Amino acid sequence: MSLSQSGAVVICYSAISGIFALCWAALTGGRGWWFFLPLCLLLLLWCNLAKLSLPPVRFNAVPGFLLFFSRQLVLGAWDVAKRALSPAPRWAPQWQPYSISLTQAASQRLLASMVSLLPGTCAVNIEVGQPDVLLLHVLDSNTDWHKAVAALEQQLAWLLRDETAKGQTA
Amino acid sequence: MDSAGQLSVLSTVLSSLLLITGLFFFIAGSIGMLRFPDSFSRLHAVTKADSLGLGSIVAGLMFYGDLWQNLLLLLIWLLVLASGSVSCQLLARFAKAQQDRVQQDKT
Repeated sequence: MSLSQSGAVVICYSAISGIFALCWAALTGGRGWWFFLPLCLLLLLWCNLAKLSLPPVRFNAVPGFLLFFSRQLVLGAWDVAKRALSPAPRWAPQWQPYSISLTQAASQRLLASMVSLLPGTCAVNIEVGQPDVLLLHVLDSNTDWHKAVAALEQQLAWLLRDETAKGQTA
Repeated sequence: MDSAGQLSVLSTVLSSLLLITGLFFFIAGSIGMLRFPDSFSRLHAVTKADSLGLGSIVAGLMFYGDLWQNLLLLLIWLLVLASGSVSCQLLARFAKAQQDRVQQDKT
């Protein structure tokens, strides 16, 4: 392993430890750090054995992604609130397959998790194939859910370094 | 906040509006839980409306806390957001597998 690679690994594990520490602080109100330290070491060991690491991101795409995600979060909640409170039933639930163009398994799982916060969609499963298919539960099949999921996928492709955004070359 | 630890009128109004908005989304999510036709549709109500509801309540409470408390509140919201979206997917996967098994048993 070269010096730059070792440096990258140290930075990655430091970032993961930082995230664990923040989560611990949030969950415990900043108490019990003596218990956190061995737990953190065990978690880092598990990350190392399971080959888990933070996906490399394009930092200039982060603000755009956060704006997009925040907007979709508000639209999603507003959409579901409107449907829940409308006097007449405004839902037509249906199963819909969505062909994923993201290539990495981790990116696909991230898409599946985030889709559940988008207006009217909830991810159920990723079926591996050519291409991989995301099985979605759509609250109202008459809405343009496909466009919203494709927009999120495009944003993730811009954000994650391992992916190639549509219309770009690797 | 002024020197006596009291919120200004503007901060009180903004905080109250955010808390009421959060309450609205929590109530809408709960009504969706009761009204939506199946368990998958109910998951939509819980994840989306409650995520934003908690976000609004956290934003409203941030007027009353110091920097460290606000950072912890923000982290709690982010954790709930992440765990909500992941657990929604896991619950939906489990429910779908159960549904498929029942259909297979029938045929």
